[in-house]
This record gives sequence, structure tokens and C-alpha cells, in this order.
Amino acid sequence: MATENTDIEQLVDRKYRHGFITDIESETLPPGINEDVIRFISDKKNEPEFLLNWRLKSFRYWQTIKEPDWAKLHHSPIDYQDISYFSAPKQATDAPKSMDEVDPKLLETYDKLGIPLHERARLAGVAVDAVFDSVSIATTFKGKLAEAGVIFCPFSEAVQDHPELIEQYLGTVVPYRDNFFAALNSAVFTDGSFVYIPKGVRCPMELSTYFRINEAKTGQFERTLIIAEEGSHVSYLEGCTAPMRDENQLHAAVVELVTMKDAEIKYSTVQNWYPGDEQGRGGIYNFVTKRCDCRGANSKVSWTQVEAGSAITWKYPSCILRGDNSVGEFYSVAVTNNLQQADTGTKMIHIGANTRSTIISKGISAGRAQQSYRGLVKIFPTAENARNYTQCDSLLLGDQCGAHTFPYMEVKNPTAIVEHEATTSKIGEDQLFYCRQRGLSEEDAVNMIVNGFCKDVFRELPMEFAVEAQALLNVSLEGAVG
Amino acid sequence: MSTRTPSTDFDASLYRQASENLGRKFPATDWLSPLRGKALARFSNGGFPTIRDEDWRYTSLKRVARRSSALLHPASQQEQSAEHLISSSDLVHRILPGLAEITMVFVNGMYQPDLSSAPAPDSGLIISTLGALKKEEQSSLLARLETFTGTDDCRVNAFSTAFLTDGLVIDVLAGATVSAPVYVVFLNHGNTVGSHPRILMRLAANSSASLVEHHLSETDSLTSGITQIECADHASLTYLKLQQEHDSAFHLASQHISLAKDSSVQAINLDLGAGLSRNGLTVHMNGEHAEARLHGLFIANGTSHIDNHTLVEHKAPNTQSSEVYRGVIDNRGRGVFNGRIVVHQKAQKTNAQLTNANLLLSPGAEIDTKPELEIYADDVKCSHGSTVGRIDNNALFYLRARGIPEDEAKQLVIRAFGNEIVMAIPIPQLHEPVTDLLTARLEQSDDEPGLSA
Repeated sequence: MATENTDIEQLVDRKYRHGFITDIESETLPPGINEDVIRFISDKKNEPEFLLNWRLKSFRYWQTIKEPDWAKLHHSPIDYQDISYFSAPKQATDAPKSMDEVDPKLLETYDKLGIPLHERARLAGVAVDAVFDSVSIATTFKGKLAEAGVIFCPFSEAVQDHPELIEQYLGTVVPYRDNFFAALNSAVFTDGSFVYIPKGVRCPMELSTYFRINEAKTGQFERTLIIAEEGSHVSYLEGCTAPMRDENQLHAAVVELVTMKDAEIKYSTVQNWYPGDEQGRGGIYNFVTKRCDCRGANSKVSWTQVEAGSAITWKYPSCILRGDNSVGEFYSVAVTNNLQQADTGTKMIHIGANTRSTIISKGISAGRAQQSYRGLVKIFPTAENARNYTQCDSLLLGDQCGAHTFPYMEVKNPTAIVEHEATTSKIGEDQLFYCRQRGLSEEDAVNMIVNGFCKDVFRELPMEFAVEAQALLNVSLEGAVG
Repeated sequence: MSTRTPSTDFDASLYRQASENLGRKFPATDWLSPLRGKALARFSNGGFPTIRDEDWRYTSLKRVARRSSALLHPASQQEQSAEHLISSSDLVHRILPGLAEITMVFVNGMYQPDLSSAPAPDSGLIISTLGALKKEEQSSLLARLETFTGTDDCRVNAFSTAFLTDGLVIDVLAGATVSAPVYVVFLNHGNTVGSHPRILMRLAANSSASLVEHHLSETDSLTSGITQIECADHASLTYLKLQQEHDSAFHLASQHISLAKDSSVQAINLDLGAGLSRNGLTVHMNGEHAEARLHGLFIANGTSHIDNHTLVEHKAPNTQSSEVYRGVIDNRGRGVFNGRIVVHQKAQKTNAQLTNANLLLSPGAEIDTKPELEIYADDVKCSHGSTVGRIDNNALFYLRARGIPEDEAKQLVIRAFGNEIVMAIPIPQLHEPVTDLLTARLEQSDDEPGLSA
């Protein structure tokens, strides 16, 4: 493999490149949360009665519970009254009918991010939904998808156009009582993506959503719901970035996936929220609940994530393997540098017979970062012949960082086979020496070894994302070597 | 991280009375009263841990809490002699053969000189019981008795200390190589007794010794014991704990081993009994080049619940640990394993490995296992692995193809699985008797009708 001839100087100088702020007029609620705020959001979105009631129920429940403290994370307390729960780019009263009507400044933003909203989208063959602060601003390729019967639209639009689907599925995978952040999200979520793949349809293109936090002092609470009916297939990509600010911003999302009989969802994330600076100032607090309910037999879900950003990551994409023969997969690369903290992993809940799950988690910790893998594999008495394989590897770069592994295995069926293995080490001197001897610089050698370490996960990513993820990894670790 | 939640059915006054009575009943250890008082205060702050405490999420002490007031303290010396205690001929077929040279027997928590054989004066060992200590020795011991740390919630350690009545103090002299193992038998004899024994062992520099701790009981009883062992530079310790309590007995134990420079420990923990057992083993690797090899085997059958928590703290550079725990869970038994390795920032060049393998044999059986790595140093090699599965069908087929009936073939495979741990016991004369105990224990689960798969 030829090394990318990146000048080391340049490499070292590369910083978080999505840290710009778009100066755009927006409508932002003053900080604070109460029932009026929730009514305002619901009213603004012209939501049906059931949704408002559900939000209020969630909010009332949220007020009765406390923030979880079991994760290996340390941060100053979050003042939930100091966050604005709604911020939307100001636009004409009518929503844009086509891409041409979208505020050019917004398009410029997405251009800067390298997200194909326009013709480039056609070339890339990816349908994109872009969420800016709290609202979705544009969705491409709607027509073509509609031909196939696929619904791919902003969540708020789905509430208007398909309220029956929302009412049927919302909160059935992640109920509002699930946890503190899910309850908060259920009360104040503003937008997100909605995907519905009808029976027997293979989605003709990859779907993609880009999330962007722009406004200061706001939180972002998006909600994604993907329903894959019997025999359908979809691949969904998610990316996120935020400006560099000295304050910590809160991001609490909920993602709900449902797979029916023989359906398959592939969900890929490249999470690149602003991680804060070298001193740990600023950065996003990322508290996310993601879960897939494999309801039908032979259904399959695959989570692939590259977690490079955020000051704090708290995220456990999970699979409930209810249908017989259903399959859950989790592939993760988490990179923490400087003062970043990540507590991430997955849960595989085996309920159906012959259910299978695979967990591959690769953690890279550098600087003064702390990272934990926390996972649960639970085999119910009903899960005859269930099978799990888990592998967690951690790589430590520097003597100030930490890597921790907390896997829980609960097995109640004697026919199940559950395996877990984990290793922690640094890059071997011999590996480095081998590369250096062949003329690679130390930086290149480390990048190459780290990329090899993550290969099993990158292989699972769609091609465009895999390239982005590799570049991201190199940037995130810059300054960690030597 | 764990939050403290008081158990609902906790009545502190009951415990206070019982603890205060001890001083009167056992005048020889009255000097422990202030210590007991302090420990009781600590325990009373919430009582037993509950499943809301992270360390106890798989092991509920509700049953223990409900019965503990009846099982708090042993009968007094007079009461015991009135019962015509166990005779040495009764005892002999229950204890391990081949260890007669140094045997210390405790019945219901109290030392029995008649049943014991003390070491020869020139053996390099000094052994004393808490009740027989001289006044000047007492005060220095108080501090040692108070210092124990580890994974186990300190409330359980405090509980044990609050009812401490007797124990052993073992000192191995510098440079001494004691070849005969110190064999300590704790027997709970008769109905509803509790014992809260303590072993304090110290190995001076360049010494080596073996300790075998054997727990036995006859009916429902409660044992909550603590073993503290300190190894000085270049000391070498072999430690075997064999738990063979009655099917309705509760066993809560913890061991705290600290290792100085170049010292080493080889520890084997065998759980072959008890209705509910929780064992917490903590090894502090305080000195450079310290080495720990830990093995464990637990067999949970019937309805027994066996919980093993281990913690290895690497606090100095160039330390090594390896750990192998195996579990066999049958009938409606439940096994819990939590193996934690912490590598502190100073402990560069650490090597640490842990594996836990479990066999689930029947539909009502359950295992909850959690190996943990917490690593703050970068130049380390650490790994852990954990598996849960059933008997390998290929192995069964191999044996059946050679004419071995299915039941026998299964037993053979399970015994082989357990035997690897037994063979790790560094006291060769124990391999055969312990293998026999293992076989007997495994056959026990066969007798239970309708439960076996």
C-alpha cells in the first residue's frame, strides 16, 4: 500500500474542519423548558393531538427521573434550563418546493461539509435529508424514491402526511420511559428523518441524513424512525457536525428501527460532532438512544458506527432479536483524543430461537482521553441455539489515556453459545519498526497500523463513508503520535 | 459508582444487641469490642447491599438478611461443650487427607485446640488465635483488622467484623520455607449457627508457605469470613480455598492479598457447595515484578447460587497476573462471575490475562458473567475472554463412538473440564481427594429427579 503523500506538517495542522459557523437568520426560542415550550414546538409543527399528548406525557415523566450516573463519564452538570429547545433557519412562510428555493447560504454550508445535496447527489446516487439545527431543510430524490414506494422525508413532514404510521410506531421501540435522555427527546424532539420501506421493496439507493448544529446555546434533539416491512431492504447513512464553540452543547437523539419478517436494515453512522479543543473546552455532549426491534423472523439489522467526535459520547445501539433466526450486528470504531470521553457499546437481546449476533468493537484512545466499551448480551430462556460472538480491542496511544471494557453476559438457555474476548495494548514496537524500516514516517506507519486495526469495521461501511471514516481517523489522532 | 440503598427489612437494633452480647459471651476476645462497635456502625448504615448496588446486581442477599438475625453468633464456649462437640474421629473422614501436620480446626467460629495440631516450634511459623493473644500484641492487630479494602461492598466486610469472635494470626518468618501446608478447617456444626472467622497471615521477606482454607457445614448456617494475607519482598504463597457448605447454607467470604516486590501468589478457589455463596478475591500488586496466578472452579447445581468476584489491582510496573475461572451450572443453579483487572497509570509493562469458561447443563440454569478491564497505562498487554456453552457435541460423539454410554460420556467431559483447575493446585497430594470431591458433587446433580437435562 502506497502511503498518502500527505505532508506531515499539513497533517499536524489539520484541525476540526467543520468548525465554521453559518451566519444565517434563525428563529430561536429563549433557553428553558416547560410545558409551554413543548406546546410551542408542537404548535409550530402543526402536530396532531396525539403527538402533543405524548410529548407532554414524556415531559412529565422526565421531570420525575434523574440523569443516569453509571457510565464512566465525568462532566459538569448540565443545566437543562439553559438550553434552547428550538432553533430553525428562518425562511419564507412557504417551505421550499425545490432545491432552487433553499437558502443559498444553507446550500453553501452543506457544500462546505462536502455533502452532495445537488447534482453531486445524482452522481453519488445517495438520497440526502439534511437537518440544520432542529429542522430538516432539504431532501433530495424524493420523486425517484416515491416511484419505488419508499417514503423518505423529514420527520415533521411524515407527521403531517402519514400520521397513522407515526402513531402506530413512534415510541414502540424506544418508549419514552426508556431512559432520561429518551424521555427528554420524546418531549422536545423537533425533527429528524422518517423512512418507510414497503413490503418486498429493495430501496433503490442509499439514504442519508446529515445533522448539523449551528446556533449557539441550542440543543439538538432529533428523532429517526425507520420501518422496513416484510422482505424489504434499506441502507441508511447518518453524519453529523457542529461548529467550534467554547460551550458544551447537548445532543440527545433517539433512533428507532423496526424490521419485519425477512427485512434488513443497514444503519451506518459517522459521528463527527465537535470534540472540544486540546484543553477540553467546548464540544458536544452526545447522549443517544438507538435501538432496532427485529420483530419478524429472519430479519437482520446491522449497526456500523465510527465515533470520532463529541466531548462526551454515551451511546449503545441495540438489537432486540425477537423474531426467530434474526440477526444483529454491531461494528464500531471509537476514537478519543485530548480530553474526549466515550462510553459506548451495544446490547444484544436474544429472545427468538436461532438468533445470532456479532459484536466487533475497536477503541482507540489517545491524549488524555478515557474510553469504555459497555455491552450486554442477554439470552432469554426462549432463545434456543442462540449464538453470540463479541470481540473488543483497544489501542492505547500515550500513557495518559485509558481504555476500559465492561461486557455483561446473561445466559439463561443451555443451548446458547456466547463468546467474548477483549484485548488492550499499544502499537507494537516491532510493528512500528517494520514499517519504519521500509521507509514510512512514524505518522504514516501509525496511521497505517491504526487503519489496519479498524479494518474489520471499515469494511462494513458503504464505500463513500469508508473513505471519509479513514480520513477522519487520521485527523482525530493527529498530534497523538511522537 | 454504586449507590447505597437500605434494604427494607433491616432492623439495626437486633444486630446491635447481638454484637454487644459477644463481649460477655467470649471474654477472651473482649478486646475486639471497640472494633466490633465501629464495624457495626458501618454496617448499620444501610445493612446488606441490595441488587441495586452494581456489585450485587446478580446476587440478592434478601434471603440472608431475612435469616441473619437467627444466624448471628455462635454458641458460647459453655453451650458448645454441653453439646458434646464433634470428635476427631467424626471429623477425620470429612477433612482432606494428607494435611495432618498443621491443622487448625474451628467449630462454629471457635478454635478447637483438641482437634488441632500446632506446628513444630522450629517450623518457621508462628500461629496464634485471636483469643490467645497477649495484650501488647492486641493493639497492633486492631489496626490490621480494620484495614481491608476490595471489591466487596465494605458493608459485608463490616458485617463480618461486627460479629468477629475468633480467628487465626499466622506469621511466616523471614527466609523460612514451610513445606507443610497450614490447613484451617471451619466447620459449622448443628443447627442455625453463624460464624465470622478471620485469618490474618503475613509472609516475611524470602519466605514461602501454603494455606488451605476449608469450609464445611451441616445444615443451614451463615459464614462470613475474611482472609487477609500480606506477602513481603520475594515471598511466595500458595493459597487454596475449598468451600463445601451445606445446600441451605449461606457463605459470604472475601480474601485480600497484597504482594510486595518480587513476591508471588498462586491461589485456587473451589466452590463445591452452599445455597448461596459469594466470594470476593482481591489481589493488590503493590511491588514491582509481583506475580499472581489465580484459578477458580464453581459448581452450582440444585438451586445453589454461586457468585465469584475477583479484582486484580496492578499498581506497580512489570507485574503479571493470569486468571482462569470455570463454572459448571446444572439444574436450577445460578453462577455469577465478575473478574476485574485494573491497571494503574504507574503499572507500565503489565501483563494481565483472564479467562472465564462456563458450562450450562440444564434449561433452568443461568450464568451471568462480566469480565472487566480498566486500563490507565499504555505499555501493557491485557486480555480477557469469557465463554458460555454446553457440552461439545463432537466430544460426546467421540466418546459414544467408542462405546461409552451417553451419561457416562457427559460426566467424563464435565470432569475433564473441571479437572484442569484441580490439577493446578500446587499441592500434589490434594489432586486425588479433590478430584473425588468434584466427582461426588457432580453426581449429586444427577440424583435430583426431573431437573437434569
